[in-house]
Amino acid sequence: MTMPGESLRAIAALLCEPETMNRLIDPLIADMQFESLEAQERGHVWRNRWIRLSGCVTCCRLISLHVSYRRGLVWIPATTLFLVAAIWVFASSRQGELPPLPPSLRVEKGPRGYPPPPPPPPPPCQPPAFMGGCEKQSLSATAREAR
Amino acid sequence: MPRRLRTLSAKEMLILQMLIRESELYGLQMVAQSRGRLKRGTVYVTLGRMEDKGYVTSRAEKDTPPGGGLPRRIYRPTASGRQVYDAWSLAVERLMPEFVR
Repeated sequence: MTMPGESLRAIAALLCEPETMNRLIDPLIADMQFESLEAQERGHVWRNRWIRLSGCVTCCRLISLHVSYRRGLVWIPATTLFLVAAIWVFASSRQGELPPLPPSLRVEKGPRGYPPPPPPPPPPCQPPAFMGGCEKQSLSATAREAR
Repeated sequence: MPRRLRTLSAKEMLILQMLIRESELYGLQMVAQSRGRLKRGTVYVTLGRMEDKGYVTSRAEKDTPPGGGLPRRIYRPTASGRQVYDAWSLAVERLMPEFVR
């Protein structure tokens, strides 16, 4: 199992100097990990998820600010990119899965996650005798007209 | 040569006040105790600047999380930080007493 923020730290290590990592990024990720573990131990699923998401977004803002300041870039596009990266990291992590539903709300899932479709209705049955009867009737009518 | 005035911003003063009161704190504890005046994203930037000025020192915690995470960073005030805080709080008290109340 990977700790939360490890992927983000790897991305940050590519973009930031070791001093920045040591002073800004590492303490922030360490705090997020401690908070996340605490929430996990208490069974607070949604709080854990919120801590991870807000920690990732904060970390991304910090990295983007640092990178844009160092390289003289405009901050807003860089922030947007990093926020997208943060959400992707969060969503792709294994702990970002939704909690299981209570048994009362569970349904048997079909091929795409939806409930299975109801069985098709039986085809309407037409007795062959009826069709034959009509044919006979129409034939007899035409025969009467011919006479 | 004129002596340079050692400045202290409002956030730095708040951090020093908490550190002097508690002696040692993590960044997250400072954010929690500040009641919204410090943010997670800015607290470490401010602390880094204060470390450069010599107001605080930091060390990595010995204990790491059970899953093998990063150690947290603990901050404590230096003697210089305490002096600057005392001088600034005295100045604020004398010059702007209405803010102290």
